[in-house]
Amino acid sequence: MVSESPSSPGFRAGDLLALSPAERRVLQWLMRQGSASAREVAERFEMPEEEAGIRLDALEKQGFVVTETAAGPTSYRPEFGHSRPARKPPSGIWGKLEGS
Amino acid sequence: MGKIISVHSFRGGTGKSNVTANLAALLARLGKRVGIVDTDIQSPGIHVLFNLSPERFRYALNDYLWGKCRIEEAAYDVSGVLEGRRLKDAGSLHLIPGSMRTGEITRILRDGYDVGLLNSGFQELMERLELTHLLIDTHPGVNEETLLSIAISDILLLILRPDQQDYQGTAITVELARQLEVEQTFMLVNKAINPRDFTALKQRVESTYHVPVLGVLPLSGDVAILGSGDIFALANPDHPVTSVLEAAAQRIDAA
Ligand SMILES: Nc1ncnc2c1ncn2[C@@H]1O[C@H](COP(=O)(O)OP(=O)(O)OP(=O)(O)O)[C@@H](O)[C@H]1O
Ligand SMILES: [Mg+2]
Repeated sequence: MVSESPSSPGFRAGDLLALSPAERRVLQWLMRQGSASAREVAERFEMPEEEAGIRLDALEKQGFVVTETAAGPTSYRPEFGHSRPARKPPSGIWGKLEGS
Repeated sequence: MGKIISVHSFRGGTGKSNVTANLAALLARLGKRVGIVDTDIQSPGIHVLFNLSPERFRYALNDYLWGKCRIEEAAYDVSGVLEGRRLKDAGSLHLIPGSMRTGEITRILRDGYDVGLLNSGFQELMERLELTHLLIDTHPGVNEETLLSIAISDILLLILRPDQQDYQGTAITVELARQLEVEQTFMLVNKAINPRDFTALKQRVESTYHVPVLGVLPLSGDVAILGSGDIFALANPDHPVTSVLEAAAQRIDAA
């Protein structure tokens, strides 16, 4: 499942609910960790590293994680979508409020 | 690693901010290092219970979200509320308030903010202040911040009143917590009317949602009169409301 607007990459909270449980668990764990390598994911979820890699790749394809290869093994970190205002109020209202 | 506890309710005015402040203080009284974040950016307020006036905070959560400060710079040591209240070995309390400036609240609504920053702020705060517990006071209902805070929580505490609208709404939140596989969900019933019915009420709620109820708090004139002006359990150590809150804090600490 891909975020609706291509101009805002990353996942929204609702995307979490649409993921398969296996991918969601990895993403939720990454949210707490900040970032992790495929090996660390494999250790946490007690699965072969290859399988962890498959899940991380699937998340990357959806734009929900990004990779960093600066030092050592590739690490994956969650890519959050930007929170947007839920409603568009009448134009000009922000200027008036902020001017007050 | 510390525990993240989100305090939430589907509907507003259930007592989330009061319960959050009281549980935080009671956990600190058990010697814990406790952080509290007001993620209710649209209608912040928990700072009032800690007697932290908006003139006294230079930075709020909003400033951190706009990259104006580090998360710990927006954290105020409010352990002062514990002082002079027959406590030895108390821990500490650190509050991140929401901004009370009109322009800053509207700016968040207009521009949004980087949700990733909010998430890493929670993690950094726990690390840098060596917190044992981080309590997140939320805006009612299901929205982006709430879902994310539920998704990263070790414990979700749902507050509900004995009210048909609360009952229906709580079912939705419980379902979301199940889908997100939150490790531990608890409930607390607040503003209950008939003390003779409390045990039955607790059992009814538990068997409806299959979630443990930490306690049933009465609709209390004493709580209402205090009007969020102080932390009830600290101001009234021998009150029956305080015993229920203490038992809840102990369950959370043991979880
Ligand atoms: N057990 C109680 N008995 C009487 N009054 C209570 C009780 N619990 C909370 N209140 C009162 O209810 C009001 C709402 O409480 P509080 O602000 O904690 O709720 P909330 O869920 O955080 O609200 P919001 O959804 O707006 O954030 C306050 O005036 C508070 O003093
Ligand atoms: Mg509140």
